[in-house]
Amino acid sequence: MMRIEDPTGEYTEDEDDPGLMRIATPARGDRPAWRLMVEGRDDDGDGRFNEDPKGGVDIGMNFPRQYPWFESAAGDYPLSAPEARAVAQLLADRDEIGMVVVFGTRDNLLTPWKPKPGSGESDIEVGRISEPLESVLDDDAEWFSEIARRYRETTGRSESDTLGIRPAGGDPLSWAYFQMGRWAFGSSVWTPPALARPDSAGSPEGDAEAEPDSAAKSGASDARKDLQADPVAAERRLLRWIRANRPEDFVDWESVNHPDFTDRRVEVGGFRPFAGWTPPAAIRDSIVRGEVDFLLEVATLLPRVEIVEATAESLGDGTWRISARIANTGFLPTRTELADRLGRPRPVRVDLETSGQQLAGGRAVRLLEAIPGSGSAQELTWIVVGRGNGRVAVSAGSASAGRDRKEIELR
Amino acid sequence: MTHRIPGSFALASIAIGVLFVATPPATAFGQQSPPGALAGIGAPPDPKVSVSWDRYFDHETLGEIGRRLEEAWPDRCRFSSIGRSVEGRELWLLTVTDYGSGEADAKPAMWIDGNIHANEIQGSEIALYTAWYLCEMADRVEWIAELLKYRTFYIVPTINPDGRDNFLFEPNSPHSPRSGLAPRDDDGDGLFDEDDFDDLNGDGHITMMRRRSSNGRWITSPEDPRIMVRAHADQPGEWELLGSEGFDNDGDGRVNEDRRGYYDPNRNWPWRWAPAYVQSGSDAYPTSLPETRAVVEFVLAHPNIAAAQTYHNNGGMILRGPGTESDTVRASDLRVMDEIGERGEMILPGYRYISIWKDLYTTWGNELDWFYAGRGIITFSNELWTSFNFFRETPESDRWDRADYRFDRYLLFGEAVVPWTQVDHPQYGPIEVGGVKRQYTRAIPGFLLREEAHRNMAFTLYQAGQMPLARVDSVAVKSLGGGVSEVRALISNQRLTPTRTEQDVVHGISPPDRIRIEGGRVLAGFRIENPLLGTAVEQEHRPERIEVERIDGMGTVAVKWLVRGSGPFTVTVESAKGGTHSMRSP
Repeated sequence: MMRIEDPTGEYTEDEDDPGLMRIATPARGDRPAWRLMVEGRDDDGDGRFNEDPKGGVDIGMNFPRQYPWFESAAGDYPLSAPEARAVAQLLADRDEIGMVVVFGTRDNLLTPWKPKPGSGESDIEVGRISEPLESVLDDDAEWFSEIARRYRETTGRSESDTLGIRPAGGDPLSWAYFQMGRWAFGSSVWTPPALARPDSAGSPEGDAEAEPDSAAKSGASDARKDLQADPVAAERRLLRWIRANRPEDFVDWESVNHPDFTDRRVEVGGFRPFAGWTPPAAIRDSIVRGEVDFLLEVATLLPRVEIVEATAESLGDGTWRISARIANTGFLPTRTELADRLGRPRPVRVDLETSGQQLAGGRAVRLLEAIPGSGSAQELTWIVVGRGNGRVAVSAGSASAGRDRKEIELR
Repeated sequence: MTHRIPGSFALASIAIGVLFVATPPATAFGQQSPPGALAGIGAPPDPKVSVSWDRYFDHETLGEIGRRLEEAWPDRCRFSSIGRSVEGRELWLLTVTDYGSGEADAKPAMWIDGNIHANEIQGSEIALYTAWYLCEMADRVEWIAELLKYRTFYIVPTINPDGRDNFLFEPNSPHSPRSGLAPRDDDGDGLFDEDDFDDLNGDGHITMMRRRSSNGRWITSPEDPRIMVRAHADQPGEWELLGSEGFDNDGDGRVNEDRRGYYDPNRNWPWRWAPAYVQSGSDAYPTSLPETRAVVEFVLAHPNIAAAQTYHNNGGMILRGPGTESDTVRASDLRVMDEIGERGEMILPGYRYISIWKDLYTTWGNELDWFYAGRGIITFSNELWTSFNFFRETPESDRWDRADYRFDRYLLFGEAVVPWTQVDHPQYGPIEVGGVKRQYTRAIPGFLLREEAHRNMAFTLYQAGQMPLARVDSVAVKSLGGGVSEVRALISNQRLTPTRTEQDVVHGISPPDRIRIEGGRVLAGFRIENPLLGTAVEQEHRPERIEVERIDGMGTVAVKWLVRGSGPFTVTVESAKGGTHSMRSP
């Protein structure tokens, strides 16, 4: 950072943590003495500093859900960044991607998404949704909660580790569920001290708020209370953590000659960019182990389509009733409830393959909406007519839940 | 009987190709008549590029006409492409301006496209007619010459060329296809486009299927046996209606459920794009279609675009945003749209100026909303052709007869409708097919196309004329002694549209307008708040380049500088959408 001595500035140096800058509160007797900004020069002479840096698109803000239009870091339009677009095209092309895991600042594993009671229900009941959803659908929420519970169990992290920040829109995690219909899980991996919720946030009162971003919002409201008590509480926590773990991440203030402020005292120092965002080396292995264990576990929870029973019942005179029980022997449903409404990824397709028989009842191709996991099943029947012995086959599956096929002798 | 002319979809049986005829350059406005005739007003008497405006051109011919315009009028028209479609067709661009008076990309510009919906074809002819008319008439009409001097037109006749050629050359109904041709698995069975329409009687049109049945609920109209009407609730019928021509190609028990395409290219735009559970046809993500993306990238690269028109059909509407109830058009922008739209209702009899969600239906992720809300550009979408045009009155609904059939009987002599004919349907058995041809009801009958093109062009030229036009009105120098001068400049916008819309200013989409001075060392620069009182606010940084938020429509801003030197001084206004203009002090 850079501070310029200026009585019209807003900042003062903290008494308890020397070097820490905070906004002066004249009502408490603070005397403003400094302007504070990121280190740099006014290269184009327009009176603004560092207002047009190199690059500028934050990929994590470039996805289409709740896209933060006109924020400079978000890009010109959703998916304008080739990196974000490549991810979007991959999910559009590949139904076999049944689950998305995002490592970033968005989380739904420490604090799972919660449905908003009553929101849009009447619309949903008549099969129409008139506005993009703001919260997870009821039928999906319990699965998200259960996976989150398993994450916390595997990694040892807890809900109180949820980052106390309000994430910007345009993120890939909520996009993967709300616009692409996938099971989508976001892990923050580690809770940087500067982003931890204040200690007072141990009782998650804000969590009753049923919003996808409830954790972030309650974090934000706690942060507001926190700010009233001590305007630089978060920075103070960070500074203490840095002094204990990575002292080089806080630079002592040092005088410089600044060409834009030749007649003023200018100093550079303070927090390094992204200070305290990286876990210390000593705990890195245990963090990685926890996340990998979770990935390996959650991969076993994908849906699995199996034809658990397929039979032919003779109705006499060469007429047969074919029955098949299509089960999901995996854990997660064959697709999200949201995917049922979206139509993508594709549903489980069931085919009755005949060999010369005539199909007299039931469709040769059927598409099944989400089958819940843990062995839940749907029973399908067909009537076929064919003289003499023969065989038919039933096949069932989807790109992300695998396929199964069973042949049935007619005799 | 319809004949296919190579390269075009015939409406009449007389084939007149596109000709290139060289004529001597005109020397003065409005001097010529064609040999052996008196020129009609409102038409080039002897055009260098001869085009028959009574038919619908395929993609290749649209390009050919564009290329010929460039050859004939190299100082007015440049022919290029903004990108390629799914199937690799070029998205032709005609850039029309007076190239002798400045760079095209530096002038305030109007974007015109058409045919985003494949079956809404006439937008292409109307866009192309605009380019043609501007080129051919600038020597004849001073207003056009002036327009081209200060404005640029970016004209893309079709932004869905794959769908267009499919509409022209494959069996279709007036309503198909709306989509482009990127393969999509509409029914989710893992197969792509496996159950399209089928032209059962081989006439090139997809019409309706009916089956005689005493249990049917439809009867033949006593007024016109080609029309089917519902039987009274307590009366028996004679026909079952079975939908559009086709059969169950993939044996899944459904008919025509996975056609070529299928998505809605006008729901694929980034502003308020919504997934398919809210907005069907929006496709997997915003700008997933290369055609959408090519337009988006072009518009982003051309900040001089200050007005836009995207042509659709039909219904006689001048549409403005927003497409969704929870969105909004900002108040001062709405006033500009109202002025232009209401003028349009006069230019286009039978057309109504209305908003999309409120007066038509809700659309998420449409093109017009992105142009306005995403880029701050005043944009309209005309729904070309209206049933008002059949008999120059708003038709009353008649249970037994319909205006489109009546118009066909009395003005088209039955050409527009395929009479019911018997065919064998592979699944339904003996049925009949019949109904309107695909170039009727939505597309315009050939003999009326040119008028519709001209009137809609006239509306877009009105809008183009009302794009902002920034001008340095005056520069006054007063010596303050000691070698210091005070320089005052008055800058105006001489048109209805502000240099930046409210949407633009609020979101910082374009840079502010800038007023520069050259000719001396600037000591201080000011925006003058009240020119009569002379109150002024200093701009401390870069005072030689005063920034103003915008210049209102028909408005002015005043600035002043204290400068070392006695002149002459040159003052220049630079506005992304209002153009650049300079004046030198005496």
